[in-house]
Amino acid sequence: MNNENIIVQIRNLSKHFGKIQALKDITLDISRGQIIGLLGANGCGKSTLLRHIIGLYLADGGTCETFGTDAAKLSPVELGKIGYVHQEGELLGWMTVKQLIRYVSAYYKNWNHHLEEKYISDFNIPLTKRVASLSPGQRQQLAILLAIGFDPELLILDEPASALDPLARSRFLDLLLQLIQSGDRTIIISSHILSDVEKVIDHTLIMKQGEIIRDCSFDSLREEFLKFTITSLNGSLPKNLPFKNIIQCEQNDNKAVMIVQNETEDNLRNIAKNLNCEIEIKTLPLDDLYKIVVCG
Amino acid sequence: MSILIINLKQLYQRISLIVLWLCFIGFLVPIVTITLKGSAGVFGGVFVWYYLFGLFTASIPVEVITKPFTFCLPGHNNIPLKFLSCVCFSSACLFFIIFLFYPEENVAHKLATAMSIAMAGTMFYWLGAWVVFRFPNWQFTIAFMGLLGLSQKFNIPEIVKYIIVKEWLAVICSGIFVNILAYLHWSRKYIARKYCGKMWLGAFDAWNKQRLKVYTESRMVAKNKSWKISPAIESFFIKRITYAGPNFERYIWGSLYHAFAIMFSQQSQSSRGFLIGCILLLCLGYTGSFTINVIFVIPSLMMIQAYMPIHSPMLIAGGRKERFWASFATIVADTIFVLLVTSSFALLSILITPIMPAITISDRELQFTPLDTRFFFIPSLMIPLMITVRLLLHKMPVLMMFVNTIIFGAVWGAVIAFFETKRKAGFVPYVNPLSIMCLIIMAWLIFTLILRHICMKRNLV
Amino acid sequence: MLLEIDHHSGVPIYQQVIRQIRQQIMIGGLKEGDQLETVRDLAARLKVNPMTISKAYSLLEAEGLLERKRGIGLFAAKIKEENKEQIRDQMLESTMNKATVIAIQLGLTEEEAIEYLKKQYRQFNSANEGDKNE
Repeated sequence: MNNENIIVQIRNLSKHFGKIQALKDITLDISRGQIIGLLGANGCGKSTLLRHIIGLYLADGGTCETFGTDAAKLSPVELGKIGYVHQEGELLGWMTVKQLIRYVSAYYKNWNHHLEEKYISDFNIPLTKRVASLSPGQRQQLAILLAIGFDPELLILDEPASALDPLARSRFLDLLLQLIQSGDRTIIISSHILSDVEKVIDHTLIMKQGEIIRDCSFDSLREEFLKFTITSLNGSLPKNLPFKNIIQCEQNDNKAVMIVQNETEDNLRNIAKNLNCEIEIKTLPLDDLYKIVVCG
Repeated sequence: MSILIINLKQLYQRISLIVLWLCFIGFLVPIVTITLKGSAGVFGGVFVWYYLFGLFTASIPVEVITKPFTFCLPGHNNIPLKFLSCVCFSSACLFFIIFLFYPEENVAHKLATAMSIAMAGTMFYWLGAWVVFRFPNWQFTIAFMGLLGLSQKFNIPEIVKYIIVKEWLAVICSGIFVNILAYLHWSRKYIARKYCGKMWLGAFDAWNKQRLKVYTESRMVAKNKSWKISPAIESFFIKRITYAGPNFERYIWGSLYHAFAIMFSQQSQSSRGFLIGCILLLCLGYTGSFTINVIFVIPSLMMIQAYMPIHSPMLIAGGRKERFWASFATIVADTIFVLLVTSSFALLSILITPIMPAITISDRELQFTPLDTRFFFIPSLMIPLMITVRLLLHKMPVLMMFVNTIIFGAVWGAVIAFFETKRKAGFVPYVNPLSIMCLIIMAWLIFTLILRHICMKRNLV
Repeated sequence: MLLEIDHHSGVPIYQQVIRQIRQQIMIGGLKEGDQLETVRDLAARLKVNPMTISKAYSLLEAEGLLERKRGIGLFAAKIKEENKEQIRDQMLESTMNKATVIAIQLGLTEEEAIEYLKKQYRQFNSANEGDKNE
């Protein structure tokens, strides 16, 4: 693999907090331009993993390299290429919004003032208000602006939209879609709003109890599980249908709805033809895929 | 089980409260035994105790009534009244019985004295309760207890004893009056609505970082003006940060901006602080002896909360190395600042000494004493030590406060010991500039090493 | 080129893009030699991930419907006749399948089904002719 293109390289990373094992032996490569959806239940280690990538946490075992350097030793130049929206939403409450934006932008030479202005007017950011007086949603909007304002090469979004209202969320989604158009920007999004995430990502990482249980492209995850409906054309369906790798099945006399894993569409169609059935095949939305992968 | 009983159960259900009550009993026993000997020495102690007892007792119903869901619970409006009265009545009965042993010949007078003490006690109890229900951050009033040190100077225990024992009728009457007032105050109809969902500090919230953060933020919104940063200060720092480039310097300026922007912007607040300092200087100056030198110690205590860009999830705090240098530089700047402030107070006290007149209070002549300049180094020794403790124990705030109190005690004890031994022996063998220099260097070395360890080898969030 | 994306249809987006471009080429909406929008432009317009579009484009290229000219871009290709037939069959099959199944389920005979198709065909075609005449 081309090393130039790998932005984050994690090898056998593990992390304990007291007796709790937060991360277990994680190995992962993130290459430039990937838009990654990091999914998993609360407390499964998503934030912990992200904090390792930017060096806020130190690994107990294994290594984590970001931009080719040990994440714990990231220099200001490299940190200047990372945008991070963190879950806590901790900002500097004693400044006004305007002061905070000025303060943060002072750190970045390539601060995009045009983007800043557009963002402020799009999201109705109240500039003169004190940050402490903002609602959780407004804080998140501000945090997002501060993270994207300098066109970061690596953008890490840890639950960025959890407190946004529907309108702000759809604007945020549009913004993300704009951001991903420049092909060399890498984005990692951890979110529970899967219907939003699936419009943006091209790669999925699914975590469960500190381990990565899926690391694959979104399309291959989609093709791995197929949902289909077969309808018998003459009379009833046989009790035992000749499909393999069935995950879910609901059946009545002349109709069956099934989810199968690792089956090709052609194969399914052939079987249906032999049964003299009509078949309609669909891929699953991310919500359902996530449920199947996590719950087994 | 009635609502009241469930609420009263809190008194012993929380372990921290049990520890607190044990402390209270620990203080009460000596106070009572000394008082029962008929000496005036700590006569007021009972009332100070009662006031503090009122504070912490009232913090329990206030915690309950400010929770938003309480509003919807039926019959909770008058729970603070019932709760407070219950505790008040039982404790007053207890005191009445205890002080029946007060050394008085006449039985009637004995009864009157015990009644008088119990009634006066309830007055202080209700004062404490009122403070809690009035001020969201009622804990600051505990700081005023420090002023009690002055009471001995001005013969206050004698006066208190005289009032309680001789003017018992007036005391009992005003006690009844205060109790009626308290009843009227807490039986208002809208109490539950007034406190519903309000930000109030509970008994132990001074050590709860999360609660304190929420509280500070709510203050920032309420007192918008006192958080204004002057544009000149802002642009000064922003320019430094912008032109510094991506190196240590930038992060040091950023951290200094954090630490000093508001203090330098708020001239009215700073001058108010200076005024309070001056008043403190005057009061302490007349207490005589070495007490005034506490001025060297107090600002160092306040620096426990000094800003350091270590545990920040914001990436503008920099990488680990930058966080180390910025924190180190900020603490150095803080120390220099404190040194400047304390030294200027010391200088001020020396300058005004010749013109300060002697004051005579109840036949004692009080002379103004200036600060002892030989102690000017105290901040530079205390600040690194206290910050080190904070760094090590930042996840255990109670323990941190405890250890820092020990450090404070040790330094202050050393100051007292210095004066006492000097008075007695005429010289102190080990205290000389060289040993002090060594101590200071040691303190900074330890601080630097631990700060470096935490910045480089620990989790930053 | 007007494309429409439905996020909830259960069909992967790249397949929706492929189907619609294929259809455009087959019915002449995209003529041989017409240039397609760049991956980035199309992705920005459809508000989808650029990887999706580039995947759709490369599959269409492999299918022979699109032609890449180095340094210039992608163009609609000239389709060989035999390929054309095959693609047409594919497209029709999926649509006709559905109609046929419903007809069978409803219990229509073959003749009735054909009759229905004829009726429909005439109806739409005459409307078409009428348009042309005006």
